[in-house]
Amino acid sequence: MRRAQQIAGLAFLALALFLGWHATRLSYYSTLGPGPGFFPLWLCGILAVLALVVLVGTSRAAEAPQSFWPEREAWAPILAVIGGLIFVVLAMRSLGYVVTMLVFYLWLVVTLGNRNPLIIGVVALAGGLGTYAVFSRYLKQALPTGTLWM
Amino acid sequence: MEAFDLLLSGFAVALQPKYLLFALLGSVIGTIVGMLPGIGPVAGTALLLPVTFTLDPTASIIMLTSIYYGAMYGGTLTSVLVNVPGEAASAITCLDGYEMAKRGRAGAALAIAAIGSFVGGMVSIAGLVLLAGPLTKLALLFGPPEFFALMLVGLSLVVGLAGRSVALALISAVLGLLVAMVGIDPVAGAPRFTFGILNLFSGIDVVIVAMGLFGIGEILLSLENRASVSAFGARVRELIPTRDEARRSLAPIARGTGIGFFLGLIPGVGAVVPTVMAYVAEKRLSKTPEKFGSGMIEGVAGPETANNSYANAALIPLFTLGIPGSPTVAIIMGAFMMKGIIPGPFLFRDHAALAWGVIASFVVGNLILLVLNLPLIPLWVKLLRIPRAVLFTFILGFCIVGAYSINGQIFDVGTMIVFGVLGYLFKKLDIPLAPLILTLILGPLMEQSLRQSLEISQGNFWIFFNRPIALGLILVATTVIALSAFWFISTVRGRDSEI
Repeated sequence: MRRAQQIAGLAFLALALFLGWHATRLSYYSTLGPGPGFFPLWLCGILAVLALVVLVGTSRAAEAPQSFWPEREAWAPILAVIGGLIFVVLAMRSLGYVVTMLVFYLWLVVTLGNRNPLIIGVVALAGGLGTYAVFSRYLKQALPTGTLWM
Repeated sequence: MEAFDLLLSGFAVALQPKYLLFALLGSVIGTIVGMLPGIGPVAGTALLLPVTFTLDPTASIIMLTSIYYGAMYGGTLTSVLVNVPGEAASAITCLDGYEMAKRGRAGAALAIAAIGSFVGGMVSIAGLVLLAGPLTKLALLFGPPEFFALMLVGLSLVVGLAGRSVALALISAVLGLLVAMVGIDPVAGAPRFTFGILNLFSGIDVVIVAMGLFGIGEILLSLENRASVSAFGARVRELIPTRDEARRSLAPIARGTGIGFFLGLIPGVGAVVPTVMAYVAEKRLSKTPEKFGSGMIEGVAGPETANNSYANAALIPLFTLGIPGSPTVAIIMGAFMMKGIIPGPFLFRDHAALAWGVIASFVVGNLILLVLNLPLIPLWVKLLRIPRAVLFTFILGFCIVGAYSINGQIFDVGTMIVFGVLGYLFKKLDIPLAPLILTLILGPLMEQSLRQSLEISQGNFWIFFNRPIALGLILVATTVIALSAFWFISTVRGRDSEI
């Protein structure tokens, strides 16, 4: 846990330095008062100081009993969810909402542990077609139709 | 009496069949959201926000606020019946509520919880009605320096009450402010932190961040916990409490109302603190504290009343000052802003019908929860049997369609996933998420008032110190930060000396 917090502290410091460097390229002050870089630069400075406080604090603190990393069997569902979500972002534009979400619902309901074919089928159809019908027909949301079929 | 006349005019709005329907729908959906594990009130409200896009502002806010306090009640059902809190604020109810359920008194526990919630909610709404006028008149004296100082107070309370690590809470708050900076600068028109990505020019929407942090992040965390609800230890038989149970609940309901109401007025307290405080107060005041945890009705009545009293009172700073006191209230504020309405003192002047209509709908919503929920308990119990795989899949699917619906951009879905993973990592690292979402909402308002103030004073920071209200608020913010830093340092020293 301590190592993870140290890594987080370093990541916050790096983020503060990177965004602070970007903020220096914006106008800090003008004749009208503070410019667009004024607030971001101060925030990055504060973030850098806080990141150092966390780094120093965690180096001095005792090791916490709980582990940062999940247990081995929890990795598969977590990665399945993240993978499924990334698939949606990559596929939605070309495959369209219905096909992408059908695949997404099928993938998730199976990888999260359901083996009942009836439930799997109902979830995939309700998730893919059902939500499309509700959001596009009744809530008037324009969902992607896909470029592959055009 | 003027306030109550205005409230009566609000009832003319809230009792229209259309708005009654949305209050009913919101209460039912909120109850389900509060019951189901893996989705709390914040994610639930954010997730359902797109559903309200096509509604008029009054209907939209009525539905979202009904979801909010419906979720608070829903968490109680699972705490009492299954010993699993649907949301964090109801965790303390498990201690005595489930024990009562095991003895066949689940119905009485739920009935007392519902009655206490109703009383707590009503008193908080009365407080909102009474405070709305004076606070609004005070806030109308505010210029940009006073608004900036007020935002500082909100921010200091959020960070000061964050709990174990002030540094981690401050990091969360600063990150929220930095995310708020993304997009075109509203004064000079310069792009900030956009890195040439066109989708970032309009900024990052607060709802997308909330769905990621609280929806996807929460599900990823839940996947680590393989325990599932398999059986119900309790059945609901008798809903009417005995005379003794009713008598013993009176004082805890009164105390819970007071605790919830006063803590609801302070931004950043969170819903867990009032319930725990109410429970501790009941245990301390009891002649038989050793019996707490074995099914004492006082252990249900006090915390549950405090929970709903807090939920309603937390809307007072939003309606009167424009400060969201909790992440869920921040989402409701986001909904106001999406409809082009800024909550705060001008709300009652510029949108009086909406403001009083929504406040009147709180009374209606609380009544609906009281009347509707108890007879529907068997139905709610059946809903809990939905397999986890199905439940999580649908929640994630709704997150996707919700994020897409906001701007019709797949980019927003990707942004939500990034914040989902960040939310998961932050929870693992004990970094509180509430400051991030609150500063994300307050950030643009804070920056705007700071820059407007300095434009008025031609760059002179003295403007914040020579106006009495601004100076007073800055002193409050400084005191809160100093006290929390002192508390933090003394805690660390105490820990060191123990070692």
